[in-house]
Amino acid sequence: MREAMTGNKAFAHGVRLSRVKVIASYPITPQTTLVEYLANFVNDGMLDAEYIRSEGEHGMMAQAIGAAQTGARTFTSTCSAGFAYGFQGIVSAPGLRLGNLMLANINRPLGVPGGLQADHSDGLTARDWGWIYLYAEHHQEILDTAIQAYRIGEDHRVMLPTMVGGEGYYISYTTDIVDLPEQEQVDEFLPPFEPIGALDARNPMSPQIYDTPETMMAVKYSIHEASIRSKKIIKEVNKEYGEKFGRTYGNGLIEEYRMDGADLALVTMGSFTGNARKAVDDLRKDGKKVGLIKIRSFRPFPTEDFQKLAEDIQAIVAVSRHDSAGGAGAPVGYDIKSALYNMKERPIIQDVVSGICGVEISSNDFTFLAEKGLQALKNHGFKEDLIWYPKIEITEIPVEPMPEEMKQHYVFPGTGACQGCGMTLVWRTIMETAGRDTIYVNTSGCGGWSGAHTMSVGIGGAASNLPAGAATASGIKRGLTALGKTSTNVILGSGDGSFGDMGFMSASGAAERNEDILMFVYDNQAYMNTGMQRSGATPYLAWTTTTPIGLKVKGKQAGTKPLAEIMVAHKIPYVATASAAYIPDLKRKIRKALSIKGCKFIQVYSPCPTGHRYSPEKAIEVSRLAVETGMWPLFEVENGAYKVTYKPREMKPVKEYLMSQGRFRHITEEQIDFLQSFTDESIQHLELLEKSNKK
Amino acid sequence: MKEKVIKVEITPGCWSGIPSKVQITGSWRTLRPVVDVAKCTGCGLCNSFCPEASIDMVERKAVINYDYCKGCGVCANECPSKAIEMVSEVGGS
Repeated sequence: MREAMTGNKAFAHGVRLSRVKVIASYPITPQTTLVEYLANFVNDGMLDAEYIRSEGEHGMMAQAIGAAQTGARTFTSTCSAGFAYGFQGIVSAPGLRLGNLMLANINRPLGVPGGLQADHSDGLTARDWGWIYLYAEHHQEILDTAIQAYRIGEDHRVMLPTMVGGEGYYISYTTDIVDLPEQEQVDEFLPPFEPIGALDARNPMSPQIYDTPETMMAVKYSIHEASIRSKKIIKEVNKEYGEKFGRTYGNGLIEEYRMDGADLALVTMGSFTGNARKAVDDLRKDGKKVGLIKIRSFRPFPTEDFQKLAEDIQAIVAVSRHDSAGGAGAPVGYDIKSALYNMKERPIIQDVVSGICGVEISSNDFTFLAEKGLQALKNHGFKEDLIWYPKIEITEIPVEPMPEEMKQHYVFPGTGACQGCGMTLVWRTIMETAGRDTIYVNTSGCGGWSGAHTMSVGIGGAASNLPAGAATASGIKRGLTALGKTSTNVILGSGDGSFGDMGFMSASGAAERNEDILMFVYDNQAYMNTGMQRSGATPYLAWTTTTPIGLKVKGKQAGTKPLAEIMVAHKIPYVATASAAYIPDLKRKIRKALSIKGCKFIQVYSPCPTGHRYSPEKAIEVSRLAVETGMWPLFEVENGAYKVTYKPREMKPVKEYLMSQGRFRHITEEQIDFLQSFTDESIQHLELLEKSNKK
Repeated sequence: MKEKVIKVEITPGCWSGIPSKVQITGSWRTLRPVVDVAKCTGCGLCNSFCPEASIDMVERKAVINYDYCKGCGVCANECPSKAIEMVSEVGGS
């Protein structure tokens, strides 16, 4: 069946057709929609799999590894910072010989400077550990490779996890026509996984991960050997796939394009191969002998194929979508040069760093690079071993202080936040109340990416990585203290996901140490920045893109993680809840918190018209309803003593709040009754806590 | 074919005291808030609730900064004296 779909959807279909048993997911752009499609498949009953909505990639990789160790075919997916956060698991999986584990790497720049577009820097960090690393050029290839990957990894001659790489944006979000194979055919091609060993109480065994140095070196060698051996299996699987489905990708390891009689070969990996094909066509029209080698398998590296091709070509221009700062070349060229160095006669090679951080590399750019290579052939060599393209010209300008007139403001308008966003409102209120002697810290999320923390704020601040906001704030406070700047407030602003899920360890650590910082959460009750995926703070039954309203399962099936109560349990001096609809109450709580030494926590209800599904002008109205129905009680806890700071004269029924938002549109009268009695009990409990202080 | 060049100005370590790379978000608007100055009591509620910090109080009257106002309509919805009306940006109200 042929159907138009995005690359992420094509990948999700590949996972579905592979009859994956366990999926571990966590949102991070641009792979998120892949796991959203899978959540839909599962909730609609199209895929019978355990779907884990993880608390972060570190846990996600561990969940994937745990599941794969039972022998269940397992899928997980990440990129960029998530890839780095999952790295502890990523480096372990090959040693555990988890051939039934596939990791999708819908790539994106890793580290600082960050970015959201295509870049190979994330996946290439895992080059050396034994993953079978296949790059796909286009939508059809990514679907086909997903199915092939399990066949390759699960082969008992290989038993190594597979990583399938596809470019963020170019593949993940663009649409192309994809041929969906029939389930029956895929079942014939990919039989159920037969583990060599697995965690099974009826047949007890465990992987032996620590032994003598000599044994461990031998185990390392066996991984190396298996990776080398897998070249044969990748080729076999590619051939067999072609026989069954009518599609092959070169010999499986590389794909040659118009290499007949070529003097020069462009070498590419990933989606920009398409542009290089066009460049080769253009150059051939002009009679220039240029061909293309697409690397499909980066690990194992197609050493022998390059050696064979090198016998007939005189020059190679190898394009890497990643840099190795200070290195002698670039990642793709390193392997080609190593493969060819011991040949008696070898082509001249130029490394090119291009297309990184999402910079477009067009067919004209490839034409330019190839023509430069042909010129170098005439001049008997490249002038430079490594170039960056486009050429970069930097003018260094001095650091300028903030202009005085800008210091009149705390938050400037012109952020990238949605219409009716509560987060910008909460941030601004907090900044204005805290005053100028403040340093803010913002974790990645709506606050970070909308520009509210870096571009539009009139005081100094720092961006923290998602799981470590409270830790970054702690470090800043200690640094300022060490320098004698003890009066400066350090304020952490986090989303509910970055604080309560992924950043929970860091937040708990700061609370336990009683760091002198104010931590606040703009609680929009889901991962809104990546496009509304459920978090621990998402309410029971709410729709999100990873808790879709499916035919079988409708909305979130777990309750809300009680962040304020958890912080109270840490016995920090001040904890409060607040709401964007009660600004004076919020301001009073900020002032109070900042007057107290030690760790403070304020959780602010932050309306999100985009994610909660209502018209933006209702943002404050709905926030107010949350308080007036008792679903978002306003209270503060000072040194363990509870105080309800706002008591509506008469509680409105929760139905009014729920029905004002599209995310609850599907819920039944019975469920509303349940939520009403749950809310009534919560309010009574809160009143009891308040009374118990007064005794 | 001409070589492509990226020309940029950057500071050492990318430090800067100049925060503003703001977008002129007024172009997002499909509805425009219009203040009826006669009805505006100067309570400042719209100013405190504006998600985009695009309302200033000038001589106790709300003044909207149309360069940045995204047209969400929170101000009109919250105004206790109904002094703000949302009118279409396309072809009048």
